[in-house]
Amino acid sequence: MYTHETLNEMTVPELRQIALSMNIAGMSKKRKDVVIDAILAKQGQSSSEVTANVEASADEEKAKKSKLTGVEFNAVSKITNPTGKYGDKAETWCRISSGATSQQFDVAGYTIADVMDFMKEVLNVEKTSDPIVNGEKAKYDYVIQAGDNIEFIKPAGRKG
Amino acid sequence: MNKEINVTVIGLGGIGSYLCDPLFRYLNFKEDINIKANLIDGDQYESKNLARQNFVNVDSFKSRDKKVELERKFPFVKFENITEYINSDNISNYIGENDYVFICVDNHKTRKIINDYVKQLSDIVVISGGNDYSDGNVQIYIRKNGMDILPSLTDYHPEILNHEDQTPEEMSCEELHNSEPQLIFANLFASTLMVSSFFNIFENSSINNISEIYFDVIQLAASPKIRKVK
Repeated sequence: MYTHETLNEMTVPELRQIALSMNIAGMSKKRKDVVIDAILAKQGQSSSEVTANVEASADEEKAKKSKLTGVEFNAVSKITNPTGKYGDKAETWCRISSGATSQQFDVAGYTIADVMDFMKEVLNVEKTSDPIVNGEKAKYDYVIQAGDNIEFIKPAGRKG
Repeated sequence: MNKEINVTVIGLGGIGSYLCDPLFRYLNFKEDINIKANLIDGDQYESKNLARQNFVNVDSFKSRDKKVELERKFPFVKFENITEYINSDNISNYIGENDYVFICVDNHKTRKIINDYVKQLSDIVVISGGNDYSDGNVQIYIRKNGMDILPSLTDYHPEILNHEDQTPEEMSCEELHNSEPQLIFANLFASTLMVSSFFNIFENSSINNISEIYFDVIQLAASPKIRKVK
């Protein structure tokens, strides 16, 4: 948990990195005070989100996977396996990259199209970027599997 | 009898002007190899290039200026300068089988011209670099025995296949003057990754299936990508 004082002493790139690790979207171009407020707000929500995830039923998990507007869980938590019995845990992390940037995200079960708009902001992915999954071109309705390596191809540099 | 290799550098601006020194310094001291190098660029070095490009004489033709500079430093490499822009009509004069081709141009149209031409060759290594202001990529395209070993420049880049830009020959003076800004360190990063890729291919005959490397000066990051041949 970070205090306001601790966060205030950090640089903007450090704060943005923390926000990214906490799956707080939309901070890549925000001012320092906005990023700090978002981190503090997220911390305030964290304990209740974890509790909600533990108590969520399998039906609630299935309903959640309609459209990804933001990654709402704690960066180190694991979601309940919607097809397993209550209390089962499953790894759902995937690596998503575009250009020189890559991060791990908890997006298994979503389609490429679901995550596209979200990734556009987080990774600065252009809408027209072709998705590559595990080295091969993929369709936008591909359902992401745990452990997938997903790349949104960044256009080639033009100048020289 | 010494092995002969042909190296062609197309574009001697931001990336090409930095790539030449380490590339030919490395090759100059290789024993048992005769190296012929083509330096190709139709442009001149101007005073506005001083802030970013590596050259000696202002208002000199780039290919000639580079040839004079490199000949002085690397006497065991045979340099030829070609003061032309590569196009569909002249490309066959300068690129042939088993060549190592470095594309350091500033437009996708020329990249596509070269890509389409080398697809007709049986054996070739093409290393293409490009950047925007502070980031960019290097692509490696290898053909062996008439087959793609690594994807072509256009396979995963429709913006090259369906380019919307023009070659310098087709641009107006105003368009040439108003070029997009580039960071010198982006040019350096691209040239370093290009010669490093060449080293891996030339010395180890392997690039571990890496066909593209993205880089970002601001993030201080480089990310190699493995892509499958289509």
